Amino acid sequence: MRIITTRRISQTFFFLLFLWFCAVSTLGEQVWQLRGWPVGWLLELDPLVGLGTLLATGTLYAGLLWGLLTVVLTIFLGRVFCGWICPFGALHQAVGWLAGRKRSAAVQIAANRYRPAQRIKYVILIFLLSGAAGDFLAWLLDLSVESSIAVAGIAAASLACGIAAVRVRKAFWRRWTTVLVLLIIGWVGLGFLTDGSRLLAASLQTGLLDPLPLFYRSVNLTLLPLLDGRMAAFSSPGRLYPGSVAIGLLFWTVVLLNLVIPRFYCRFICPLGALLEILGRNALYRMGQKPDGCTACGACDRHCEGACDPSTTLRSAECVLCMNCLDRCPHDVMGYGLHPSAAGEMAGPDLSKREFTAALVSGVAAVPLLRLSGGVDANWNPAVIRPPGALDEANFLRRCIKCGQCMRVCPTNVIHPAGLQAGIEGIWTPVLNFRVGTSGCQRGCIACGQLCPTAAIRPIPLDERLGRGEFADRGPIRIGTAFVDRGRCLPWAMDRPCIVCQENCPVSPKAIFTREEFRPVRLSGDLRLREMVEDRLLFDGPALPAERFATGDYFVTLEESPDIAPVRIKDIGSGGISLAENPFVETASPGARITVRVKLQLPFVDPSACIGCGICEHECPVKGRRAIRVSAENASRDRQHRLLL
Amino acid sequence: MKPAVPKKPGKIETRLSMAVLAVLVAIGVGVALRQFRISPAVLALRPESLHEEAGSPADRAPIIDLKESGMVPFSPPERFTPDTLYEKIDGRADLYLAAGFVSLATQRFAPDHAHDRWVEVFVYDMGTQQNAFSVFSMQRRETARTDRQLPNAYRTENALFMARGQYYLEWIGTDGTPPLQEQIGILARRFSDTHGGADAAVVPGGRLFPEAGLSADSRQLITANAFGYEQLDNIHTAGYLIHGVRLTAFVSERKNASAAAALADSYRQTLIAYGADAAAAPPAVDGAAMLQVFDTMEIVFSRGNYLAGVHEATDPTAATILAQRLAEHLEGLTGPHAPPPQEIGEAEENKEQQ
Repeated sequence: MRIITTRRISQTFFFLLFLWFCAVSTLGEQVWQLRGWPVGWLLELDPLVGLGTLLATGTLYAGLLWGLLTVVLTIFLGRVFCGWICPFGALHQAVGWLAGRKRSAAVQIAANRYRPAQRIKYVILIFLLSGAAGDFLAWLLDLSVESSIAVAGIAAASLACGIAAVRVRKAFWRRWTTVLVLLIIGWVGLGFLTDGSRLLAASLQTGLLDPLPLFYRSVNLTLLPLLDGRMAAFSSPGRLYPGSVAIGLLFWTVVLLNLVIPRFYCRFICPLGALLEILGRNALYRMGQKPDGCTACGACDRHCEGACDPSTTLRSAECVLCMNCLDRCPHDVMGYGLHPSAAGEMAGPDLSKREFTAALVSGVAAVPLLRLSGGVDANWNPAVIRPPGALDEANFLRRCIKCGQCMRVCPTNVIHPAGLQAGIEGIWTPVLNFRVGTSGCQRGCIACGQLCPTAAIRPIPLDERLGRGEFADRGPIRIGTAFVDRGRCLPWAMDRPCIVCQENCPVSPKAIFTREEFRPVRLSGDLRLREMVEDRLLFDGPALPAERFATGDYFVTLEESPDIAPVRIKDIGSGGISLAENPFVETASPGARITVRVKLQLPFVDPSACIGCGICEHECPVKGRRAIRVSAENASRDRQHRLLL
Repeated sequence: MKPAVPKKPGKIETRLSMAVLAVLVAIGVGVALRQFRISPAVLALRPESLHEEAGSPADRAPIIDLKESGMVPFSPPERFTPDTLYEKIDGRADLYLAAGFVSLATQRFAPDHAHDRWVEVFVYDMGTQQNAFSVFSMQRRETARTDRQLPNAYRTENALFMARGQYYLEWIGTDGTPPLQEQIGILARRFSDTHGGADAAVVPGGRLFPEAGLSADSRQLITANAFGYEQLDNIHTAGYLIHGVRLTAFVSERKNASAAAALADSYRQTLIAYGADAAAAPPAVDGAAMLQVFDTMEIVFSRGNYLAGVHEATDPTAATILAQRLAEHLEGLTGPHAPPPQEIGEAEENKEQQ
């Protein structure tokens, strides 16, 4: 069997596996549902996810150890992940092949030549990783200031270096000793400079461009919702994801760029590709020319997926192991083995010190700059409601890779990709929007945390979610608190009876309770008592439509009988107002002013009972901007949000 | 320079390919095996996970029979009494309480292995078949369409409503997808079969109205305060279409003929007291009173034990035709060959309960 046939089978296998994982990410026990499928496995194989979270948090979430397998494979075999496993790469390769298959050989060769702009992906990688490494750097610098052992070590090392610099005669050693001294001074100086400051902070943004989160996000939030229907229901039909247009635009842009240059994304943008290039630049096995025999026919260049110039000085780091050169070479010159290419190799990455430093510094500097908005501190946005089990905002942003798994699996479609409400670093992270979906956040559901590949949303047990068993003393997890907008609430603002929110509140005892109040109804004129016949009040004044006032919510009082409680209107007809009972017989007289009052049950929220599930907001009949809305106040995940004193 | 060589895979290439394919097969098998370890996210939705620890096994038992229905409990059962009904349906509680509400049991059920959709079942025990039919008929949704497989039931886009014996049931689905709605139908039919079957689905007072012109599914039972008149209780109404005019007929069975006649007269007097004008009585209906209330006509009469009439008719000719048919029909019920009255006692018993 030809090796490229095997590679195509492998790519197809992983591509279909990826699609399967996306399709089955819906709650249920059927084979085509979540069941026990390891739907996040391909994300866990992605070493950039593991490295990013490791740098940002200092910990590695268990599943991400799979990334080590990819690292080991890359060190030994080269970029086998890019050429054989990555489903996004397979898509680019397929589109690029479709676009270029009828082009002339010269055009294909031109499209596949190496371009200096391929360095951009290293810049992106360094920028993203340095943005994630802020806290790690802060920890390193703190050592020089706060650790007595480190301070003693620094002092000893400085003394030793100083002595060595004086005594050593050789220029080489003197130079390096001086460099070491400067490094130590810089380390201590920066330690003092950054100590207690906000100059360093970490935020994981690799997910924006990391191919696997990007592909998961795009399929989960833009493709599957479009395909959902009654004939092929990947989830309950009608799922919406506000803001998904930007996700779709990015996805289709990078896919369609393959029409211009094959594997455009892999060559120019992909930060994972850049990481694997660095890891595999000196891979044990590599592609290369055998000595003698190359006629410079260009067959290898014509079909090269990595734009790594196999016919000349091979850029080994760019090689994605597509094996096309090996298969297409008519003279059997190309091979895959332990020996370097006979025509020469260039390991790469060919990034200048200036470019490297610029990417590194801007990445480290960007996050503290973003944090000046206070979005994770005092200026947190109450509209940013995170799923149950989400970490506090700062830690959440250190872990979330924006893969959209939580949004996909949410059974009620209330988890959505954030726009700018969580700041630039929070773009496409999960936030809850209770206006959309089939209900609020279900009390008995823990799906989002179970699917989160990085534990940005912790995998909480159901007992913790519900606050029972060993978690009974803590109470249920709160994701926010509902607030009644009295300017929009029908009973509060418009004297219209409504208790939908109270009825739908799912917690027991209910977090929404009501207080009764009778309010006079605004009529077009005064009602005056003309006559009283048993329990009927005949009156002069504007007509009262029975369909409105005989619903049981309307009552009357008489001006002359202030001590008598409002009496329910039973019916209204040509004969006047029929009352459920008539306590006015003794006190009322003709001409007395009749006041029609509406009985309102005004909703209030008990913040100690509200879990912020948003069902009240979802069901509120004020459909535009809801009259009861959940905000992140009192959310369990962050002490800053505490509401109750 | 090497000559061009025919491209034929070598042994190493083939073996490597086989090794890679073997790895792919192993991965596939591993992934397939992994799906047998059910995710905690899915386990959390199982009924045993959702059940509260408190409560006896009887309290935790599903409120309806789920055998072979393909549905599983999706929430623990909840039960409400007249004192606690407001906790579940505060806004509509009065309607049920006024109609003789005894208890409510509710629970959510989801299709087996598919917990992104469910049905919430409300089983109202209304004490009597009359009360159950009353709340069923009084709340009929505008978008209602008759369920062909279930008598005395109707559907809306995502729900099914039915009355069976003393029970009034609502089956509210999360959506109107056919699989879910089909499963709702299965559950509803099973409930019907195990709760009296066809006998329990009989519309109370079904024999009271003539068939000619009767609109399907227009029957209602107003247990109290019908047409805003407190003495009118247990009033059966039905819609008719006569000469293109929509009309409402009403009938109420009373203790005896004199009670029926007295109530008819009392209602007539009340309407006049409210400002209605007496119109020329329809000659075709002996003893009937015709009254003009604003721009509508009200016909009231009694036949034997029955109070009857036509309510808020917009066309006096059509109203007279309907009144005549109704009178003749009721005469047939009260004649020598009349079927035994089955609902007299029920109606009175019902009144006493309220």
